[in-house]
Amino acid sequence: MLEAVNLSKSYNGVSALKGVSFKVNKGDIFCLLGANGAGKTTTINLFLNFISPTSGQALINQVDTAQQPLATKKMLAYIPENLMLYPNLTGVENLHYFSALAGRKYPSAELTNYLNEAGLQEVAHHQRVSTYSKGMRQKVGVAIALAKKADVLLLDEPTSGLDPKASNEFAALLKKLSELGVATLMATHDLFRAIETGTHIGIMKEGNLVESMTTDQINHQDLERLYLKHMN
Amino acid sequence: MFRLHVKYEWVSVWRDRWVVVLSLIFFGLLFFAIRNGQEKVLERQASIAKARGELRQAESKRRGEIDSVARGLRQYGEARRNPRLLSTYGQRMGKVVAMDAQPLAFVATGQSDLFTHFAKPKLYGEVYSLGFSELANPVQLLFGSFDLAFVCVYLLPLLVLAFSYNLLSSDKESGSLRLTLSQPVSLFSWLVAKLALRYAVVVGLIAATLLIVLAWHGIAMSTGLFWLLLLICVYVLFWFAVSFLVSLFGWSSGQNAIVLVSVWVVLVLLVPSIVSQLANAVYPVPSRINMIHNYRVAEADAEKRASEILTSYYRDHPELGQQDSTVANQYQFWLKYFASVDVLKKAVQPVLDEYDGALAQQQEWVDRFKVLSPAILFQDGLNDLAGTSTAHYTDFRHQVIEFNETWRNYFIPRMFANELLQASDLDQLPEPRYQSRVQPVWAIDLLLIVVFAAVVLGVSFRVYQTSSAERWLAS
Repeated sequence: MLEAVNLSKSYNGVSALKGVSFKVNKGDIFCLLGANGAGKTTTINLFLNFISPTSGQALINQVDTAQQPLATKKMLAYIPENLMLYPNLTGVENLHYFSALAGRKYPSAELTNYLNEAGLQEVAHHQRVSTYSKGMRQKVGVAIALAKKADVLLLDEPTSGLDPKASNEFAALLKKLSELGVATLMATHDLFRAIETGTHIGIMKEGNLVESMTTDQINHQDLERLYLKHMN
Repeated sequence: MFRLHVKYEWVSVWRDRWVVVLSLIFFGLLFFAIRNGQEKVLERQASIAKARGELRQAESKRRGEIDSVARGLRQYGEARRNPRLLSTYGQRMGKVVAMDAQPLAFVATGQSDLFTHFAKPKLYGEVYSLGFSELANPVQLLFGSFDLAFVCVYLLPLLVLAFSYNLLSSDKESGSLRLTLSQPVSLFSWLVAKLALRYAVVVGLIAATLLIVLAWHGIAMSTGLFWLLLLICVYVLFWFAVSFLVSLFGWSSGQNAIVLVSVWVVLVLLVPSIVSQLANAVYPVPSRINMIHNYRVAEADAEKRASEILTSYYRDHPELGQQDSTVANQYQFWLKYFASVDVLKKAVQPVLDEYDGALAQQQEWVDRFKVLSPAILFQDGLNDLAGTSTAHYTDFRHQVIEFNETWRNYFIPRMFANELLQASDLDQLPEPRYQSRVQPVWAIDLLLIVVFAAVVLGVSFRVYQTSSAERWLAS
């Protein structure tokens, strides 16, 4: 479970995030929408403890990420916009390395299972990651999330630049993770995907969370209208 | 966790073609450098052996002649051709005082290309020069030959920097650092593990190359080799520490490279060159021309007053007077010279002292300021291990001068007594026993480099503590 409590961040007196609060429960997929610079990535970075909040708290399973970053990082998986792995290592080796960093060690058969589960074609498992496409790297990222048994998934525009098929596969994986009880926070520009895969939607503007709703309350057209209203 | 980082760093390094190419280049450089060093050592040993061999031959020939003449079996014509004359023997058949190469001499050419490695004492001649061709001794901290020391002092840091400058920044630039730091790991231990692995690779590469190349050239292993490796390891550690510190500032790979190369230029090129130039400027070595001029003036003056000097010399040294005063001393010409040596010495002593003093002060200056750069410390340590430092050659020069005195002291009293050589006397001649009296300094150099590395690592730790992940992730 993931919770932002009055979360604020300012850089040299300029506010990037102004007291944002929300909660993502087990199995929920919370999609954050908003223009570039609205504070979506800042929010995610706060949960990763890449930056420290000016005030407020970012909690993962009730643990403050700023206070116990190593503990909270054990519980989360992160897929950035452009997920980069170690290019000289194979898919299996990358998975082994990153899951072992999180304290989970698997025999190679199990690692292969996770990669299969994430949809990475078997032939690529033992190829160097330098030969992978972005979609393939994202799949390794999902496999890491699976192998880590993460409770929380943080996604920063994961589908930008993916072709429609890869994007569709990725959405299916997210749903699968959500069924496993993972709480997902995803920053995205893709309204269609947000409605399709998300359970909740939040719209951010200039560091504020200006709208928050569940996806069954709204359809794609209404969401687009609402989004554009806030942007103008 | 540490082992995990190391393991995958190793796999990454191993698969990186750039690393393999660098290693091969470095292997080639070391191979060439050691070969060069060893060739110089062999030349040096050959020249000493040649001088010894020639002397041995000449000695046995002379022994035969002396014996024949003493027993009246052989005529020699003019009096000055008598092989039993002390003056001829003492002047021409001086023993070879040699400075044999130490086991690690191949490591650093040091001063060995400036000085000869053997000298023969003479009865007559300009005492101070004694075959030392180079008296205006430059404190040679700057460029020498292409030897192991050159490769290690100058090129090895560049290899280390090429190997480590973008360790953090490349991960940051590619984006994989974000994924790594989203795991429960500390950046510090992660980076230390990566550097430790690369450090081990570099050190392992050097050790392996050194052993292979030494075996190839048939150079014997010695305990000094262990200390040599230790010294190199510590120097490499220092450069890895510098790279570690610079990478913690979170700059781009390009900025890291510029900063690191600047540090290299300052520590390896600028500081040693400034220290050496200042040593020459503050304590200039007196000119050799000046010294020779003074000597010759004194010599000419002494020649003019030769008889007068000899008379007063006899007055001061009554013990040297001939027992049988009815016979003219056959060494008359020489005796005048010996009597004037004291006068000559007095005349040139100030110049000699000035020269020795300037050298000693230069050395002291360098010793004091060598702590400014690990590169000077390292070079100093290597020269010391190789036995080719300024101190070694100064010590050798002093020992040659001392033996020259011993040699003269054997002959001169006998010449005043108007004696002739017996074949049996040849076994009683003084033998040179050169043994280095230089206090080793490499251990101090090593310790000081360790201090340098420790300080840099300490500062690194401080920088790490006062930074947040923002510094390393910000693009």
